[in-house]
Amino acid sequence: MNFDAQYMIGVFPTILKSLHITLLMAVIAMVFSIAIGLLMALITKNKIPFLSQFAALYISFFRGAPALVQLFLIYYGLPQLFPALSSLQALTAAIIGLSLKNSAYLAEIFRAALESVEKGQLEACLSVGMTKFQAYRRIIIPQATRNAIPATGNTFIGLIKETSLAFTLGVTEIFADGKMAASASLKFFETYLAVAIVYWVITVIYSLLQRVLEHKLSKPYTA
Amino acid sequence: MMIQVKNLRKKFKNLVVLDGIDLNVNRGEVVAIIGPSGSGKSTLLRCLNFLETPDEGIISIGKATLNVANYTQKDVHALRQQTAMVFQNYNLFKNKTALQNITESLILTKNMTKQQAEKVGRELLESVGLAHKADNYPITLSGGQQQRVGIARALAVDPHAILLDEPTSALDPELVSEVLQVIKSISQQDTTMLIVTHEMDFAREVADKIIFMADGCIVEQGTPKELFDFTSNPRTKKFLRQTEPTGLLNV
Repeated sequence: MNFDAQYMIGVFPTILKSLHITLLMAVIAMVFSIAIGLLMALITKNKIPFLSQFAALYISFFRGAPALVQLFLIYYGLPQLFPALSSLQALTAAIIGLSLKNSAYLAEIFRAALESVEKGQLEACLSVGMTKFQAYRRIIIPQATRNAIPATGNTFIGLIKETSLAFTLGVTEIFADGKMAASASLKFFETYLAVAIVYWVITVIYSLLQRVLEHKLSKPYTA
Repeated sequence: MMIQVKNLRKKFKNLVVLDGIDLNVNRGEVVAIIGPSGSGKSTLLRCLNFLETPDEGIISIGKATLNVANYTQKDVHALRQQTAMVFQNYNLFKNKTALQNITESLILTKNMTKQQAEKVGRELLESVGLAHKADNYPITLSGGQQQRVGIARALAVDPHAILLDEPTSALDPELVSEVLQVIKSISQQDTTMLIVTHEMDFAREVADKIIFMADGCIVEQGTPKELFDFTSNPRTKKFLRQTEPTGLLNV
């Protein structure tokens, strides 16, 4: 068997050079996804005319088209329609694409989480004179957040791994680093295994953080 | 007049739930609404703060008047601010402690500081006998305790009237009396109250006026004595006979 353990250990620093790019893409795209997803969920849940039809179309399209195709559409396709976009950086395009796709997934997760909050909670808010906006901000969304965390975490883990697609646009992130190291050394197995382990470790660390968060958020609901 | 309702009508699909209700409640008056299930009692209460939207009618409570034929979201908000509601299932804010359940609306709608709100909140918890549970979350409280917090929360907004929708119906029998005690003590403080209830003895004891509803109409109203002891209305008689503890046995 031809396995160079020493090489593999040595290749980690090379891969980790671009760790910050991977994390940057994942975190920024997640922040946008949450913001857009919540907006879409609130529009859908409250059946706001016109906007809810738009939201349905948005969710349907960005859930329906493959992430890779969406990235190509934005980075290679849009500049053809809008020449001003030809200066769009690959990193920015990747973040936009990943945000659009994942916001569509989160919109559905958030809608379900909002639906899971009992109707009586909103009624109680209104009955003591709160506005609907105050009710959502102070009571409904905090309760829905707890319900949404597990599925949202899944989406985030998916997103972390999807950032590797940005490599196809020319973004140098950890997968791109790995690809270059592999081509130079021809030790494909060791290099890609190291890349896989890096992604794995990131998701394990995130899962631990999520568990702490879940524990904290569940405090009001445990006797 | 604290509450004035004229010709209130409400349909669910084809089912008429409120068939032209007229209602007057004076300041400080305690009114108990009784009647068989499905008679529209709860819907009437929920229409008064627009948790249900009526089809027709005029509602005046305290400083607000709303005509169902022509109103804005602002009118709804103003109407809701005149009352507070106590729910059958308590509906305490699950992500808030007992104290926060009370202070939340004070901070958001009465522009109180946190300190002012907590002072009011602690006094109210004291008055319902739950000062020691201030920092407990609802899930750790019994049904009776949750409902007492619910009552304190309703009192906190200092409403012109409190609407109580079957406040003891979801409680275990042994927890009913602690809640009724609290309601009774409030009723003696000149608070205007509308109570939908199945507790006939309680209604007789605390109410100044009893309203008997059936099939979306007010069949009869009067003092507890008039209604419970001297009614001549056959519909009322039949209902009262059925609610007597031995009523089932005499059939």
